[in-house]
Amino acid sequence: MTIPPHPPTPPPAQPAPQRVVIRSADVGARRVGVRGRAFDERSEYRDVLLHSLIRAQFGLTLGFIALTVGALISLPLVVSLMPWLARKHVLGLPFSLAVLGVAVYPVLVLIGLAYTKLAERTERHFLDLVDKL
Amino acid sequence: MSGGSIALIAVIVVTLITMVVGALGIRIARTPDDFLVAARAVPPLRNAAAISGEYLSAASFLGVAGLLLKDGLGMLWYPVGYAAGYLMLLLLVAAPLRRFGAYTIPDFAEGRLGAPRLRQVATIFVLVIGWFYLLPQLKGAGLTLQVLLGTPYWVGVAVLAVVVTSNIAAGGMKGVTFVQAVQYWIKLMAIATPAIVLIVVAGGLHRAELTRPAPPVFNTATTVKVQTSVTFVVDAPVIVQAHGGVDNVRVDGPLALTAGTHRVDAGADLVFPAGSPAPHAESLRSQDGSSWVSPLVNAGHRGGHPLAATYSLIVATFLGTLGLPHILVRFYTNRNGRAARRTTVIVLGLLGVFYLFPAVFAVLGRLRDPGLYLTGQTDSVVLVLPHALITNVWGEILGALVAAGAFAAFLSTSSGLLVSVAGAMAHDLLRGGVRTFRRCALLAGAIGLVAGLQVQRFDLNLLVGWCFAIAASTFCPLLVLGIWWRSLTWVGAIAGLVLGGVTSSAAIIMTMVGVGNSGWPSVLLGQPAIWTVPLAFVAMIIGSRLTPTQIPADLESKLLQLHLPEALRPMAPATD
Repeated sequence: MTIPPHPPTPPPAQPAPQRVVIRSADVGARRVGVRGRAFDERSEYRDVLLHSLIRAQFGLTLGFIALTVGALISLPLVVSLMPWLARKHVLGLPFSLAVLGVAVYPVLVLIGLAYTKLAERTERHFLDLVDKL
Repeated sequence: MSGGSIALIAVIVVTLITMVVGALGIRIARTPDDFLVAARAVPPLRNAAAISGEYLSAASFLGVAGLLLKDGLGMLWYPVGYAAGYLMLLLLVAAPLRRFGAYTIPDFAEGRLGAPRLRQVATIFVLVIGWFYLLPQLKGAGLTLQVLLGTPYWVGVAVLAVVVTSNIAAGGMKGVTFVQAVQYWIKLMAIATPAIVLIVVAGGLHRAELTRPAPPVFNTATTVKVQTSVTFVVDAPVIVQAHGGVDNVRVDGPLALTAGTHRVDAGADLVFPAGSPAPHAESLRSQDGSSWVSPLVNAGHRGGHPLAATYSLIVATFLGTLGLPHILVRFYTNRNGRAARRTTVIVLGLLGVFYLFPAVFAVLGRLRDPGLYLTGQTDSVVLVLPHALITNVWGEILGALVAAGAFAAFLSTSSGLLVSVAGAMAHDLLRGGVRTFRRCALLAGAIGLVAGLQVQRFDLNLLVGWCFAIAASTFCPLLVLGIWWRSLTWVGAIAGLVLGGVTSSAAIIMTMVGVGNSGWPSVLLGQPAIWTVPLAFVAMIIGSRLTPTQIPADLESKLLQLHLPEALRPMAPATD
């Protein structure tokens, strides 16, 4: 049995046990009418637009992976080059504990917040672009 | 004994809450959709708490502190990786996966690449990872009841398996979802309260002796009670008061322990004088302070390569999270792609707060209860430290609190895993409805129970780390390439899944049976992610390049589904 490429909306309350391909119904789609039509009508632009969006988002993702790698993954290398660091105390805690046990978590959250902001901005720009077309 | 009974009551209360709320879910559960995934559109904070509640397993609650105590602060890479995995999930898959609307990994695989055979292969790895991840939960339960009540190991394993299986078979996920969010807060409270109290009691964590190049020392005369017989290594001769069987002789009084190995029987007590260095179980390494505080992974690999082991663990944990089958289901309950991103950031915060605390137990355990090195039961440090440091009734109450938190951890994670495993069996393999799901839950629970009885000797985090390595070597490349790479085909996907899955599993099984205990083999087999993950990516890319005709004809509409913001979507789920 194959999934049809575009399954219908899952039927509401279906008592009989039957196979339901569970896919997203779009909760929270706003201003659907105008923009949705605009995007579909200009189907000659559609693929180009979509690929530019994917490229922009993927570039953002790669940038942030590089940032994370720089911030975290360089640490083992630094310490193995400078082993005396491990015997230092930072704010009353052994170096490893201060860095890997405490400081790392706010850094992760900040990276996540910054990415979310920029990803949402990319989407907003994309929507503006589609509106202008 | 009173401590045991307070703890027992706390464990029973947590278990009852889980079962009652799970039972309430039965009445609400009507449609298959309802039964498997709680109604969609859960607000981000609650959803994030549910994800964190489900994610923080026995490995996080007990295992992290135990591993830190045993192998040193380099093991902090485990919790860092468990949290950073969500950052990778956020960057690579969160929003597109939610927009695609797939609710299991096999759903995504077939939906994106359109091949039923790929769905079956993916389902097999969902089962492998799910069951593998169930093992440390069951081991944790066995260990907890053993420490608290002195029951044999199998009792805790059986109790957890029966409670969770019957709960799932009766209530489905509705109840579970509801409990998961609450359980995050239970777990946080259960680990934070004792940790803070213990810091105050111990007068802070700042101790020069932590980093001093010397083994840990008994600060006061200390009684070490041996629950399971153990062979241990004495580095400096010491005279102890012994009661029970030591080196096959029954002793009841002073005993000179010479340098070398000794065997002590279950039920024996050894009283060490103040100031004597703590012996360590033969299975552990002697670690002086300067190696214990190293921020690199050096888990017992004799002549190991700490830098390579550290990077391999980083690859496994950073990339394994996004391939865990029970986590993806949770993203389906977000309102839309944006909410999925926000939820993930909150999860990062919630996990970060939780992971501040396990290290406290490890540091204080090394300073104040080094007898754990002798018994080798380092995984129990969170459970025993409150009693060891606080000898009055408050110590018992804090002990009961951590026991309850630990059980909450086993219950929530194993419930989520069992739902995923049973769901994969019922829907992806057997194509059945709710009744099939129930039968599969019973079967999956039974298989887990049998397997759980076999893993007593493995560290909790070792088991979980292996599970992450398999997930990172299979589903991580499938999801990442499926979302971002246009040329992926189902043939390439199967090639990568099989190659990554088989090599990582084989490496881990070889380590479990004891092949390659030193040098490079111990690193490359014990922490295989560093080579199996790239291998899986390469196999997927080469396999896809060789079969360009298999690129799905509706690729553009799949990409649209993955990446188009909700505001641009027509009302129907697909853009026909």
